[in-house]
Amino acid sequence: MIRKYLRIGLILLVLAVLVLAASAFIATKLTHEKASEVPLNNSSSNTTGHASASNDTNKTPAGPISIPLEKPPFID
Amino acid sequence: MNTGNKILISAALLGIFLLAGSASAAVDFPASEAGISAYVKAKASINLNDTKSAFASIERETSDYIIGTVAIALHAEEEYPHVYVSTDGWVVAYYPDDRPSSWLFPWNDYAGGAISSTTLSKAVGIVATAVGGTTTGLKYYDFRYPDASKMMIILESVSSGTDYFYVTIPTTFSTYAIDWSHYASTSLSTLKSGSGFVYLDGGNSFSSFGRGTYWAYGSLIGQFDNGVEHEIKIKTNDGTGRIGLVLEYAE
Repeated sequence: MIRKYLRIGLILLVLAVLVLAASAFIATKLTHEKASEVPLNNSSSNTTGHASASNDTNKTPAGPISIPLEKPPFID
Repeated sequence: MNTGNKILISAALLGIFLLAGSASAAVDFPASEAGISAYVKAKASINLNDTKSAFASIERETSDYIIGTVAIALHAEEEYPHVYVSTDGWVVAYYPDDRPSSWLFPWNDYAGGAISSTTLSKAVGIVATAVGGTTTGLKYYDFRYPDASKMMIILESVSSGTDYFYVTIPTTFSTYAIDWSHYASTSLSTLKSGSGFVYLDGGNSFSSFGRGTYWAYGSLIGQFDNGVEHEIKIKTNDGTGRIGLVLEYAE
């Protein structure tokens, strides 16, 4: 009886580990697929809801560049 | 223990080891010491010996990672970013957490116009080249402000004159950093009044220089109210002046 439950427990453990491993692989793959974004040269548009910058003469933008801040995947 | 159970236990242990190995961890990155950073997965794996030619100095080295400073052309040693490189391919350039984010302005080789690189992106590029990797997908992050989701870089230049711009941060935003850097390169001639100044909202200058080439860094956090239009004015006599702002916030 004990051996039977031990066997069942081990099977469930193996299945759980395989599922978690597959999930980690998928998460890593998605992170790499997002790596094509190029943040530095993107200019922001000074529309409502954004931090805005403008010069005095005619309120045109003073060249602000908006860059997303993204937590690295290697940080918990 | 019968053969079947032995196989199951072995499979479970193997699965646990594989799961641990599949994580995207960069081993022992000093997150508690880092401020503004730029990072990229430069390669699938890196031989740390390939990085050494890129470093001006090496601070720490283990079998899993190496940390050093990377020289940026025309910049002083104190401006060299720290760079962490791990064997699983991560390259992270960063400044220590006690430095304003405005240290990323590459003043000494910036000639005006739209800014296309930072000292951090340059450092990552130098290391990525040394290891035969890529900088595609370079991203930024500030380890001091995990809730900040955006960074705005504003840069204004003036030549022997005065210019100004306005900044408004919506009241609904959370602001984590308003860091500045002032650069001035003015005539050394005593016949001219080479000098540079930067002002906030028409008050006293928060940065000023005399004749020569200088730059300084600081923070305006606490002096910048959300929902209020703030004026940054730069004035330079007999030379070139630049003021850069780095805003870090969450909408």
